[in-house]
Amino acid sequence: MTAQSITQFAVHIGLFVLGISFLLTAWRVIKGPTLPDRVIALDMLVGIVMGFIALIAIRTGFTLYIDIAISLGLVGFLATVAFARFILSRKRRGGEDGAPPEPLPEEPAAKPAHKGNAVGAAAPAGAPKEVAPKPVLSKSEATKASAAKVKIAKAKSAKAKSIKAEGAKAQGARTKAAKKSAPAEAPREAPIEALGEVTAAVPAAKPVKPKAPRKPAVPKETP
Amino acid sequence: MDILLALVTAVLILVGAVFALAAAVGLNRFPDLYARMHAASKAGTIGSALMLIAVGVHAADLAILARSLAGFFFFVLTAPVSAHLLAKAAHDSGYPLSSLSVQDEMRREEGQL
Repeated sequence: MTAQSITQFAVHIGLFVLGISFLLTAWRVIKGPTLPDRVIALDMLVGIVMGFIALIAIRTGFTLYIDIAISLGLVGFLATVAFARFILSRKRRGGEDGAPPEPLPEEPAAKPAHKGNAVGAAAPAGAPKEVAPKPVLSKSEATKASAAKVKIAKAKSAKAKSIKAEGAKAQGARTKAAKKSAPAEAPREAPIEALGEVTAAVPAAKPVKPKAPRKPAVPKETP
Repeated sequence: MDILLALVTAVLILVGAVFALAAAVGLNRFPDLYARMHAASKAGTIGSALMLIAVGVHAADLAILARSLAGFFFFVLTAPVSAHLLAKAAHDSGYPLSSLSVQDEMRREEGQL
């Protein structure tokens, strides 16, 4: 048993075992029900290929292959980070892993209840399982969504104001105050409510003189 | 001396290959995305990093050993971080834990914000 033969024997066994693990990881890439499953398997494929390159470097004696392995590790790391950023911006798609499709706009009562559930149910074990299947918007996304809805509501109230000045303005201020007091609620129904309130206020405001000076400095217009 | 170096290289190669195989089996057998992240980031990284060390030891040259150690440290520092970042992004996007999970501690942190 010379040194060379020991090394070559170990390299052959290592190549065989790495081949099996490569195929198993590729199976996860094919099968993985969700996108992050596939990405984590690709990240591991990069590591296995680095092992392959190292074994070939031992077998052929070209130690320059180590630089190739290092650069492959760098590229694989950056690719996984880019994929993580993409997944974060994409949110969880419906139907990907048998999950239900994107839910209808949540009830305003559901969002605070969900958060209360998450806090209260974490203390006893096992309860968050019921909370988990609901796709959760992160807090920044929720506030962004509510800010967008407030903008839509403001635009709608501004449009109604062009028809009737005084009554619509009071109505819009009231809805804006209502929205500021409850920022966490999913207000997808709120613009419809605002429109309903505005359209209800429009006939009520009929006695008001339509010829009112249009104030340019409307606080609602500014986002 | 040659025999000793060859034995150390052989042991490093075999242990690294076994770790990579364990990582691949775990990647297929674990029930959850987050458990698979454990297998890939820890076991997969160690398997590949040990092979890099094996090349450095086999060459019996200090310059090549230095390069392989640089690659080892770089890979061990970055690959688990990228896998963890991926799991964090998946959790923030709403991918659920498996039904075997007992508690979701990060969900509780979100609720307490």
